[in-house]
Amino acid sequence: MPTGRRSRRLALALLPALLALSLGAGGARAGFQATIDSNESAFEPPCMGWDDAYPEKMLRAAVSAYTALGYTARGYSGASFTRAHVLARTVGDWGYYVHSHGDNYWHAADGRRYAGFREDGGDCSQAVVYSKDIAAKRAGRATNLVVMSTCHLGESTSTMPGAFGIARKKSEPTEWLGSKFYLGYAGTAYDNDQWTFEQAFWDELRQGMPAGFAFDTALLGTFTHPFDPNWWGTYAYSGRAGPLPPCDRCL
Amino acid sequence: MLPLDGRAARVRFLFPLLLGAAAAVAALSLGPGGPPAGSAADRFVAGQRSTTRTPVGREAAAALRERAAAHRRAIGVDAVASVTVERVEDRFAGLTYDEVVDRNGRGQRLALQRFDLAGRLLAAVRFGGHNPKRLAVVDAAGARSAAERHARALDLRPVGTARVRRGAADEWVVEWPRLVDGVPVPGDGVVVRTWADGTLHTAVRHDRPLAERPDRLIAVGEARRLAGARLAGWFDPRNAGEWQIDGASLAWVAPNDAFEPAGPDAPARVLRLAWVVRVATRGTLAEAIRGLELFLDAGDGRLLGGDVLR
Repeated sequence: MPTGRRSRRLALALLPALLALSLGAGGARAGFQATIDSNESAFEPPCMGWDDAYPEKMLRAAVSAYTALGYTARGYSGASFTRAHVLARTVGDWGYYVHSHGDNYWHAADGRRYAGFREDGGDCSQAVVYSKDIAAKRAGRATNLVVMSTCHLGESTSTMPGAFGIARKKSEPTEWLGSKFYLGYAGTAYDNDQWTFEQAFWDELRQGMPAGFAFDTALLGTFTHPFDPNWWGTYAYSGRAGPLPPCDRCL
Repeated sequence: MLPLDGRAARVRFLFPLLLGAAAAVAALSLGPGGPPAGSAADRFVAGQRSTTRTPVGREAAAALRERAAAHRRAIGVDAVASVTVERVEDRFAGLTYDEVVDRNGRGQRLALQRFDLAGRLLAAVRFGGHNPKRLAVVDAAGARSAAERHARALDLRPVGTARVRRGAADEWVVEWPRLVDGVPVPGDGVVVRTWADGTLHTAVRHDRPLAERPDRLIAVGEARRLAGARLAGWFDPRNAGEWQIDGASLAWVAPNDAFEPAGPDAPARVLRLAWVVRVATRGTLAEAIRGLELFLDAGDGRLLGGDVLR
């Protein structure tokens, strides 16, 4: 058989499979970028004497979930997850996830505290990414789904949601505040609890559950410490990429 | 019957399509996350979906609907337009349960209930209700009473003394921790979350299986010594003054891969008795790690896993 014909037949044979895979993956919506950052270096040699499993697996889970939700998602850790990288990417982010050390950090120049998290940087000294810097770069640009997998960034006074253009307001299931949802943890949060919560949250979202419903269902996990996830945005928003109309895939 | 040439031509045309259809079925069943979930042999891998859902037989579904309907008043839902029942296999939690979902006329979820395979309620959620017009706000004692009332109505049978704390989202968290012969089982027991006015948000009971208790336990001093030796190797000598063992106590824990990335991505379903050694940090070390827990097998001191507070 001529090579060209064989190639066409192979392409014909593989087309349904490729279509099925793209449907199964949720169909990335081109242009809807999501950045997933995880601080690994601070928790492995040479910075620590053990290799912490959580940053890597939480990164994998988040990349997979954002991809399934239609984002063009990319994961970063080590030397590729720096403060400069976060601020360069944030302008184009419709989705953002970070797993790192988070707090309300003192900003010496401004003489006040801002919510923030630490970069990875690939070394043992991590600079803080302040909400103020993210807000300045984004300049009010809309975001879809933001997950702060850190301590403290889900507190009722946090300046982080505003940096992503999300007001600290919770909608009811019938109320639409836009295609946006912010998830964070109040107080301190242990990794086992975050991991358990996030796995359930991603799983519900990937089944088509809107974010608020997914959040409430994820509260049913086994948490071994006092654990307080919190959210703001639209309860019935699907978590999918883009400026979607109200009640997209409401279930 | 087709002439041989024609049949051969059709076979040549249909074969790739059939092959493609087979590949599509295989691709869909594998999905983007790897092998299909469902069989006991499957190990959950980070990035995969953790649950699979299958229909429940008509008779069993009817019984579950009836059981769930009896809880509706306690949960606080009415005007239910439709009810779905599914069996859920959760590879992350290592648990199989039946899930009953109440929906309104728009198809939105109103409430969810989970039942174990013996028909006992495991969990309930009332969706929404984040911004009710609060006519009354209860204090901690009121929240405890309300949670007790919810737990009783849902037949969750909490045991022992409740702990009450404020949650982040304008709610109360009331917990009845599980104890086995006086030893805590962190994460197990009954937890009821109520809104500020005492109405139900979520209720859940966890009751994971325990491994056999070791015949002999290592002493707490030995557990601290083993942990200390390990930690001295883990932390940079320059941080020597920035960490200390804060305490050690017995608990039933789920072994995990916290310090061993090659281990399973989900915590073990069966809990083991362990010395939980808690480590506090300060100074520059605390800028990366706020705290650490090491789980040491109570029988032989092996490291079973742990937890990290970043």
